[in-house]
Amino acid sequence: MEGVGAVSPPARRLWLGSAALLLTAGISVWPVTHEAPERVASEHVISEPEPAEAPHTAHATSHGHAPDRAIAPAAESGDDLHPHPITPEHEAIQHELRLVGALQDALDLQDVPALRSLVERYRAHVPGDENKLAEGYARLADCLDADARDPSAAREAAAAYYENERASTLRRYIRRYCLER
Amino acid sequence: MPAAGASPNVGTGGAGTPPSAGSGATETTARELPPLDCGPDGLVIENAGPPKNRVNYAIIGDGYTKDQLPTLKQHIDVAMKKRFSPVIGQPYGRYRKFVNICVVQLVSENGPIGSGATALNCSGDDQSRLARCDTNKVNMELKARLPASFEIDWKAVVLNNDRWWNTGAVVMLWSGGHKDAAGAALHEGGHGFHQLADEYDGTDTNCSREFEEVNSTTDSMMTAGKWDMWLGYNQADATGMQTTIVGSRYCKSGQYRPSDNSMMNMLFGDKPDTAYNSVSREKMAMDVWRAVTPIDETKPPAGDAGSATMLEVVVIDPEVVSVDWSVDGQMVAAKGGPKFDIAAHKLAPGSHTISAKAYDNAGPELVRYLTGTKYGRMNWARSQQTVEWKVSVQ
Repeated sequence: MEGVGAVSPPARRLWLGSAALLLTAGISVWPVTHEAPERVASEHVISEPEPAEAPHTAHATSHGHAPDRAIAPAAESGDDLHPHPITPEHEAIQHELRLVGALQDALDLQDVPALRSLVERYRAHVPGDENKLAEGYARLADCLDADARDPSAAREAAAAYYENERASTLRRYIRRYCLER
Repeated sequence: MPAAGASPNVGTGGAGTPPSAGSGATETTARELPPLDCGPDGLVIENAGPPKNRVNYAIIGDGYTKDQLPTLKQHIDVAMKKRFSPVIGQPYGRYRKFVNICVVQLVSENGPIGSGATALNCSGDDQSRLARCDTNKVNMELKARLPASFEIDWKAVVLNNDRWWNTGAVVMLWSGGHKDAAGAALHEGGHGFHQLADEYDGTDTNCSREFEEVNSTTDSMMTAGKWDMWLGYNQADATGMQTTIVGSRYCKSGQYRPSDNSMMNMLFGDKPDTAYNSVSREKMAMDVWRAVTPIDETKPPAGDAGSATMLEVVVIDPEVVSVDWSVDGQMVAAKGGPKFDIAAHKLAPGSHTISAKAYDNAGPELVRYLTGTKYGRMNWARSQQTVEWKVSVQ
């Protein structure tokens, strides 16, 4: 515990904040695995603590800008080729892409509970949903839900999404799982 | 022998797909493709085939005035040259006929970036080395300018700019005028389109967790199931030995990467070790198959084919997709090509069931995880497709 005892007040606050986030993240993950403990399909659900679960920073979403991921600087810059500032924006985009990967896996497995849980997490992380991924995956979950109360309404909503969200990367899957199913 | 321009490691046709001599299967002929519709402002960069069964990659330019549109084309050409280069571009080279690419020639009032307002408000700065654009505008313009038939799978903005400003996200951004722009487009696409991690170290301290990216792990022995099947494989023409090397995902320790160098590590220049390593290539192949299936159409349609004398499966790329033909459950032409001459088989009079199994002929130099529930591995199942006809032989 030497490290913990030695931390400065700001660092201690950071550590305590991180612990709180870890706890929050643990809670947020629990319903996914708790609801479907037997499902192999749920194995893919991302389970890391979520330091970047907080919504994208203002410049990433509220201003409608694509979020950040820097790569190494130009070789001629004379800098180390690999240092990379770890910023909240950078963490946010990493987290978004992890969620996207998990959403893709959940869709490919047609794991509706996992999809619904991940959609909520994605929505919390990217409240602006500029790329209409949360909305699209929600439509897909509705289409795949065998217990859906109103399949025709799900299909209708999916058809509207397919028609209107022409820049979405989910139209192919809307067609596959909702319109041609 | 792999086709010219293909990486020996990956090839365009894996083990090769010569039709079996005397099998009754026929040679492949060049396929006439209908024009690809990239919209009124669109530039067709790659017409691979029907968008419904292709990955569709949309690129839109920003900061190009009308007079500067030739510069946009130059920037795209540079990116494409590297994308399809023999080693560094793999597996995009192998799967070239699987991906349509449209460029939307959006005209900005000002250009290049930094000389005034542009259509997508793209910008950046040297300190962060980030590119930024207005995502809502990007999506609005793509929606307005691309036809509904072009179901977008990957989307990117190329900035008319020579700075090192790039962003790997759902909308990937790269600066087209930088001398390493083509590498940036590939690297950032690795993030945005394939959810790959950076494979270099840094100052991050959150290093003990097993994150979801397939190409970084805390488990130096078994890679947490991410690439244990690749351990000890020598990707000889590219990134070398696939192993676990400490230093990845911005962590100096605690996180391991699959190869010493790679596209997701240090992308600069054109050395072969800046190619995607085996772990990344496999993930990219899975992502392609997620969108498509091997067969575009069958002639005649599967089912009752009456007294047809010739059967055909039109596959995305006969160099990549092999076809095994069977009659009444017995394989008669392994890797027999997309056409099957019934008469040549001298079948007994009566009814017969003929089936064609089309499949990606990639070998273990490209794909090792044939099943799984993570990292898109479940999509390998989509790389195989079987169709069946009933035929009546007189």
